[in-house]
Amino acid sequence: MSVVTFNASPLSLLVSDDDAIPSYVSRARGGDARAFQELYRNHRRDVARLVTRLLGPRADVEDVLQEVFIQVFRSLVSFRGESRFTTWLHRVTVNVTLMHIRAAKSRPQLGPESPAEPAANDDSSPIEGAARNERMRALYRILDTLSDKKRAVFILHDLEGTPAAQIGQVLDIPVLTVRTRLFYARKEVYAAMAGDPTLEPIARELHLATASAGDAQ
Amino acid sequence: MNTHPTHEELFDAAADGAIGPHRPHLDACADCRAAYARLRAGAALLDEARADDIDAADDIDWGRIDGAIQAAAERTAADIRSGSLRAPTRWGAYAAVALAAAAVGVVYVKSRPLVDTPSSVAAPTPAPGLTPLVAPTSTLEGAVLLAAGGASQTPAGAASVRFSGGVSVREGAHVETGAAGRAVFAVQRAVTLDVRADSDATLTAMRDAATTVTLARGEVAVDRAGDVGTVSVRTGRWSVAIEGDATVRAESQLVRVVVLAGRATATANGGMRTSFTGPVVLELPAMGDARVVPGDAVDALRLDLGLLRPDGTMWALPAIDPAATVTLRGHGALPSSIEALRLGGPATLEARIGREVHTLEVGTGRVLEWRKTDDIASAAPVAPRHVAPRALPTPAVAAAPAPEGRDLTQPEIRAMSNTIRRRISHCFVRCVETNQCRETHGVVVFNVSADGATALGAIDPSVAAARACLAHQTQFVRFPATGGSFPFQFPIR
Repeated sequence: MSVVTFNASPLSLLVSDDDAIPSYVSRARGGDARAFQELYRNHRRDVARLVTRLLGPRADVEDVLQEVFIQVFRSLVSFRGESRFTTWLHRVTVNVTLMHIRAAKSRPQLGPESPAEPAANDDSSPIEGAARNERMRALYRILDTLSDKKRAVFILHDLEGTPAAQIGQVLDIPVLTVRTRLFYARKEVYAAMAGDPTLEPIARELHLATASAGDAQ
Repeated sequence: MNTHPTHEELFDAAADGAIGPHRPHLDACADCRAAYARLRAGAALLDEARADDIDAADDIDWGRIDGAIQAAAERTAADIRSGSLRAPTRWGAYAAVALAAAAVGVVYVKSRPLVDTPSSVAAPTPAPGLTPLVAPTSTLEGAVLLAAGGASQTPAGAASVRFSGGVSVREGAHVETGAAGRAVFAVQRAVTLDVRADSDATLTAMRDAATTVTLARGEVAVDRAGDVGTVSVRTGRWSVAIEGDATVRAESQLVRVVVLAGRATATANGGMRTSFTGPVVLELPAMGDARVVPGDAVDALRLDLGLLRPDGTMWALPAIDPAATVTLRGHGALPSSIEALRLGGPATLEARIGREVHTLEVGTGRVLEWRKTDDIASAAPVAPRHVAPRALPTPAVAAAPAPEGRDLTQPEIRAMSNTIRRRISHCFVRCVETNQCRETHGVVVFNVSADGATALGAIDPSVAAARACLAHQTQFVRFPATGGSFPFQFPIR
């Protein structure tokens, strides 16, 4: 089985709470609206990134993001401080996002889902941006074949770079379960990739070997 | 030809960029070569996704979200300050104070059951019931039965207010729900509307014999007990008159109607009118005629309204983890984002959060607080217990006579309890979550042959819908080779 290496540094799940966060949490639990907004301002970028990772390039990221924070606000009274606030926040984020994915799957689609616009990136042309977006959609089509549980573990571990122990805290499952889900998720992802003919044009686009394996040496 | 490498081996080779020992095989095997190429593309996509430190913030219209978040922050803060949303009591250092407050609460509740309890999170409100405002043929004032996920209503000519037990619903009201929202209310005697998540519905008419709902988006469910007035749901070019139980969902290019029981009559703007008797699933397209489509006429989100009464007491509930699976004991699933419900009597709510079980007793005089009552992770063999044969339920399905044999020893019972619990707990949970079972407990009988082969025998009728799952899992259960019939009771947590 592949050992995954990370080009990007592990994301915010590893970042410890800012010193001010417990104070914001405490004030928010006391009914201070400004503290709620401080929590939002401090964490919205991290949450947006995690939601985007979990959802893939879709148009409803903003809706989910909004729902996450509304749920966080409503549930903050039940946050007991037994874990770091960021861990709890990411747990809510993962759960709300997965619930959204589940609900979206249960709604029949009449036409193609409205795709997200290619990200505006100063470093790439619109064509490159669109091509990159198409590649990401291909990746998420494959990830969509996973169950919610396996998908969350796979994305958190193999894309976000979150350690298994941390994933266990976020998902409230034992580390062994994280590893088991990761094992089966990878197995399914690789099988789906191997059998997905839509990856061949991407391989050509990325100048990867298609006809001969010789270039891989 | 040598054996094909596995996908994992090929992926490893693709990710590392070196095919190494697989090259001779790939040179000779076109299928593996194609799979390898795809896996290289897949590995490259994963690399690209990992390397891309997504700065999602740059692509988000923060202006749109900031406004909604600010409103939510202010609303939540106001709810906390008003006491309708309060942090759970901290036991330990404050135990004595809390116990004293609880004792006061019990006395107070006994004397005045329909008003707020001083130590409670709840703010029970007297029921507005379902009362005519002017005359029997005039408009009605409907009682809110359940509110969840920050639903709101905008009464005709008034500002938007939170959908809660403190308000009633009248003609002209506009009810809106978000992604986790739910708004359930009585509109006529014995008629209930359930506005589901992401919905936008207006009560165009709300009379004692007829209700009309205009559905702009989302889904509404109609529960109509008995031969009472009709409910019409208008959406797009269609109007659906419901004389029974049904759900109506507005989708982008059609209206989907699930008639669970009774009859629905669909009328298009042009005058086409067709009646359907349930159970049936209908599609009403933007163009063309109504049509019956294959599919089970079921409503997985349907609430058991048995305990929700328009003349009951409204309770504001403390929040629970949105990931929780919440059930009203004996009455099936509730939305985890539940904020308030109107109950005709005492009830217990249960919430499963991961391996924990929390309960909330409502209307019993206890402080309204989610209490952790069990942890499934604990290995104590109390969850399933071997019950005496006299406790056997009426078999849901006739079971083959079980051979007689020796009884299990206590250590064997404990071991089997744990084994079976791990195997079949999810069957009950799934059954309740999908509203197919009303109970989270039941008796299951296992018939064991003399060689230890185990088969599912009778099960409690209340969990009959879990039979297929239970039967599947039972094939993996191995009892001691005793022969006999062994009933186990499962208070599933």
